Amino acid sequence: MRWIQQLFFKVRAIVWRSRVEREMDAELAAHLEAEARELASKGLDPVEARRLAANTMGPVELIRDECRDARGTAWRERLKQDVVFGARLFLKNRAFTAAALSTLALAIGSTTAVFTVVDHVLLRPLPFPAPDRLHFAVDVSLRGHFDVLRSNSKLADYAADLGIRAFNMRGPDGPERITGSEVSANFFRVLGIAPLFGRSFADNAGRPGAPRTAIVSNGFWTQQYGAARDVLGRQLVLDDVPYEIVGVMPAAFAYPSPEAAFWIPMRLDPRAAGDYWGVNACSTFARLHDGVTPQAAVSELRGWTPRVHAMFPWSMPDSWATDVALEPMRDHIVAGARVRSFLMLGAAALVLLIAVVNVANLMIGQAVSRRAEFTLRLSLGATSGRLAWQVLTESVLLAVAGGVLGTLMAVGQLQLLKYWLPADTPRLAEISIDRTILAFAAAVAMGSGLLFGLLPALRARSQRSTVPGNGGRSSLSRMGTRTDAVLVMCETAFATILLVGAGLLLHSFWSMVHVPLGYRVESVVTAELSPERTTAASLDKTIALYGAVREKIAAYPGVLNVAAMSQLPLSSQVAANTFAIEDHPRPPQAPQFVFWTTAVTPDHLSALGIRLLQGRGFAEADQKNSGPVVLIGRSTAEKFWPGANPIGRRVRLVWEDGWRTVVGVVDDVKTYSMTGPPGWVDGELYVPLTQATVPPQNLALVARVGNDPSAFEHALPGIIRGACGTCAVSKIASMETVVSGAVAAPRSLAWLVGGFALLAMTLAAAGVYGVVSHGVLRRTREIGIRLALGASPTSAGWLVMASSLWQVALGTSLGLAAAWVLARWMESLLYGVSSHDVVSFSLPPAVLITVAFLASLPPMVRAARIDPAKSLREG
Amino acid sequence: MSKPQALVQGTLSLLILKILNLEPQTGWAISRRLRQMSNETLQASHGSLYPALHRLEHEGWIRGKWQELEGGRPTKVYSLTPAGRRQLALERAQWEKLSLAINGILESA
Repeated sequence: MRWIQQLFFKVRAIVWRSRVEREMDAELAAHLEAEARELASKGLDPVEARRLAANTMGPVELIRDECRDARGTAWRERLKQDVVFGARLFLKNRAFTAAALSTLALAIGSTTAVFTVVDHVLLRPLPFPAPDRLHFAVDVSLRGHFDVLRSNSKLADYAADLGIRAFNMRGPDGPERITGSEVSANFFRVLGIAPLFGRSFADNAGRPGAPRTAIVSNGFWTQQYGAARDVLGRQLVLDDVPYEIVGVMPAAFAYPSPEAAFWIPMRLDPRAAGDYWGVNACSTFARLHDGVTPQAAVSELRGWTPRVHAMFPWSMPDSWATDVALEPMRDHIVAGARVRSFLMLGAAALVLLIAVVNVANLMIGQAVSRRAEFTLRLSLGATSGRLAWQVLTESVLLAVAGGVLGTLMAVGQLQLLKYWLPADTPRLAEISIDRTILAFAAAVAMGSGLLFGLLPALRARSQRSTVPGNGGRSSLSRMGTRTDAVLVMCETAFATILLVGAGLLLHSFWSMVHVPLGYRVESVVTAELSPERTTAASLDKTIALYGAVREKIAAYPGVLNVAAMSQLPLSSQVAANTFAIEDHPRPPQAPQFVFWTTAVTPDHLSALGIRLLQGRGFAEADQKNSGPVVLIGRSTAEKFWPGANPIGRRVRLVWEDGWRTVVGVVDDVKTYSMTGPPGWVDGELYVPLTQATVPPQNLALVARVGNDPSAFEHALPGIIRGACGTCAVSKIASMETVVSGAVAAPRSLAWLVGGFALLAMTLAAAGVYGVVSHGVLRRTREIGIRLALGASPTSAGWLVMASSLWQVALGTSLGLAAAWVLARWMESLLYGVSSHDVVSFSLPPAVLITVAFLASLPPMVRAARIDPAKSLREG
Repeated sequence: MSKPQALVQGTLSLLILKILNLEPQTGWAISRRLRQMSNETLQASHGSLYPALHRLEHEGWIRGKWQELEGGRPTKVYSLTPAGRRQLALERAQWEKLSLAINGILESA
């Protein structure tokens, strides 16, 4: 019963607050009146009676506060008072409010935007049911291996895909290139996503003789078929092979890549041994059965390795697949993005911290000018705790306003980020601002409000009820100086860390773009030519086709050289073959050498300007039936034949019998990526296109154009169609574009962190300026005395400057020390630069101290110009 | 300065309950009776009574009602509730036990 009554009072107190307040006022007024009447009846003068009554009553404000306390709603009243008061204060001090709000909005906005990315990329569960049961099977990359696991595992369902690949699709203007993924029949079932409509693949899909079916993506369905329901049953012709469309996936489904426009069954035919046992192309993953631990699943997986090893149609090295393991699917997908995501989050967090310090500093500046107000309120009966709460409420109010603005800003910044981030950032398409992000922004805003309000609040608490005026000045001044020094040190330390990080990334980027590529970039145009399937399957037809295309291109005015390659430099396509080397024999069970292998036409060296160092290049005479020849790279020659002549040595593809002879050595070129081929590659070699190890699926065309390459780029599709009506042309780009695309990821990271560092430096400069200015204001009297006692204006100015520079220097050293420790986490992102790079560590302090010097200059001049007489009078 | 001097914490509510046990009173009347009954010993600032009244009302031991007194403005008159009567008995018993104990100590020492 009682709690109902209490609830009633509480609700009444909250809902009818103003009525309760009115009643309380009336009650107190009635008391005063009755008391005054009583006193008057004793013969007192009515005015005197009233005064006496009020006197015995005590401080009304306090009584009301305590009554509210008794009713349990006091905090609401106070909050409302403080908020209204704070809001009025902020509206009055426009300059302060604008400075604080813009700082906060910028910092909260960028932190929120970056967090949005990190949250979606790293933290969110994958968009599949029970995603924690999904594991990636490391080192299970052969179809045969996968197939055995799929049909035999008792603890998990194994599924696989072949990544994404481009196909020729018949379009109105000849073939177009579209990308899709070949997947196992159970792919969708294991991931746990059913088609939006239609059906999934039949269990035998991909087996010999099974009907060819396809499932299309939502985007492709909308774009190609106008989202028509009757798409089911229609034919999709890919590389001249018809597939029946049996399903459409939901829009959110984007695995293995958002670029997959369709999924078709992966061919699983044990009789095609080369495909089944010989091509490392499979990404295998598993969904563990309920209650199965990853450890159990891994030991089952390992247990199968020797049995699969025995099934190979040829003998495999003993070390084959000994490293198989299961890795949580999400970790696998985001692996490469982890470090750079945390780096960006760290950068944003540092900017936020600097912003918090700046606003705290602004608030302290405010508090100094509000001293009279606080003293007055204290002497009217407010407790110092109450003042502290008020200051804290004001800061949170400010932070909330900053948070709202910041969230709006984050929407825009997120668009910028998505534009800037490397396109290979996993799950980029999923990124958007939602409830989680809003909650994060609110938490950041509140947290920073409490943080930057804490110091001013503590100072308000320590304020004593003293006579307004000069009484408390000296002690406050001492404390103020110490706080200011700490603030400046924090700011410069944070800014230093960011500047060092940005410096390392920029230096690394700089050395990456200045690394010798080994080939000519300017006035080279490249394109990818994809012949139809029957042509691509036959090396002779491909060569004949290239002959026709080459003739047309060479006839275009201004074209100096034309060449074809099996893949373009920097195309990030893996093109490795295993070779035996005649004079480097290996034990029978040991692995042979993996060579990066590019098939090229004779003009390749001249078109790309690659230097021939020794021997000869390929010639038209190197034909299918002539003696097999290879060119090798410079480092390969130095690695296998140091100090010896590599010409005439012989290598052999492991599945062939004939030896191929080294006829020349060419300069090293950046093939796979700007940092060279993958680490597991033993060497690089070239074969003539006529002697290619396998017929290339696509030909990378390379043309050096003397005049106006961009006009040539536009004309190229037409030229090629003139020579081959059934060829698709894609990726037409100048070599400059290709190169700049290859450094897109480090560039965007360097610029992003650089941007944050610039922001941090600007904020720190503003902070230093603010602190030093306040310091001069506070020390006006002291400086005045010094000047009056004969100090020169210059020395007064230097007094200000020196203390500022000391603080900055100290903060910078702290920042450098922290950066020294933190830099080691960035090692994986750096290229050609040590993580303790001298330049990156010595420039930031120099820059920061210069900036601090400039920021302290105006207050220093002001200090020098202080009029001693005036300052002593007013101070 | 807000607490009535020499009033043990919690005693104020006992006294208020005791005064209201006789008849319903306004806040001012309660404060006057406090002074009279204690022979002006409890020279509390009058205002400090009100938070206590509000708290007792919140606890449900007393109830305030707005009444028009002769010719004057409406005034809030407090009366004891049944729960308040029980509370009075309880607090009174506790007080007697406490003062007995203290007296015992003072006399034996």
